[in-house]
Amino acid sequence: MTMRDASADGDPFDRRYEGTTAVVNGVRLDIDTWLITQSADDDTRTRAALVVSELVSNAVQASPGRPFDLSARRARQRAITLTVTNRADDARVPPRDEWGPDDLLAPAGRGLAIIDTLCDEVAITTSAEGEITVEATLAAGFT
Amino acid sequence: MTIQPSQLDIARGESDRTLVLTGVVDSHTAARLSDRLDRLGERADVAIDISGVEFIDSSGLRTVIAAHVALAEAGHRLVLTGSSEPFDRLLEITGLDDQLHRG
Repeated sequence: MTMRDASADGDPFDRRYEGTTAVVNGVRLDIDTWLITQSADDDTRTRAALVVSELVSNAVQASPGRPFDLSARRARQRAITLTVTNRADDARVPPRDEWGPDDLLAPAGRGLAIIDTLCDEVAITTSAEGEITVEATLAAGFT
Repeated sequence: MTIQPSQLDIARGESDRTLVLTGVVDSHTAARLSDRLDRLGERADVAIDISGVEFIDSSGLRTVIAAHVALAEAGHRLVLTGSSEPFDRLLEITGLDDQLHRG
């Protein structure tokens, strides 16, 4: 269920979602709808869907049941920034060398590595209040 | 607004050790796929027809890799059949495109 909607004009996009995997599909659809309003091309929409899916899955896994915030912005001339903020008891930021799995066939640990591969810039920050913010900027094409 | 959760249909294929996926494999649906694969066990090869996969992320991939590794340890294979652009793209991004068996 969407708890707050402040993107009526399509730009910028800011929403809060419940911290459950049931919203992940809706989040992808919401971002895709926003990207369409921005005239993003198909490749951008495809990459953004995967990035936002990984961002949201990480947030829900880190703090299940707690709401998270998602924003999307045009960044520079040909990029978009997707930002997810959640609140967790253990607001640990993994160092960059831990973003991928140790072994190619390790079952888990690929989410951040996928985001890093698809994005030009990825920044993870924490606040004293236990907020974790992941900001991912990816190159974008617009028609 | 009503949120429509991700949908994944898991059907039996030509054999009882073939699963046919249609829909989305993400953090909401991957557990169901994992359950189906667990029920098949590791006594023989397993095939997954991925032709109908419309979207997959690392949660879905994690499930597939776990089954691949478990079957390999038992001397059997997980074979992906068919073609799915989202699936193939994710394998390429993660460097796993040469790691999984294709049929």
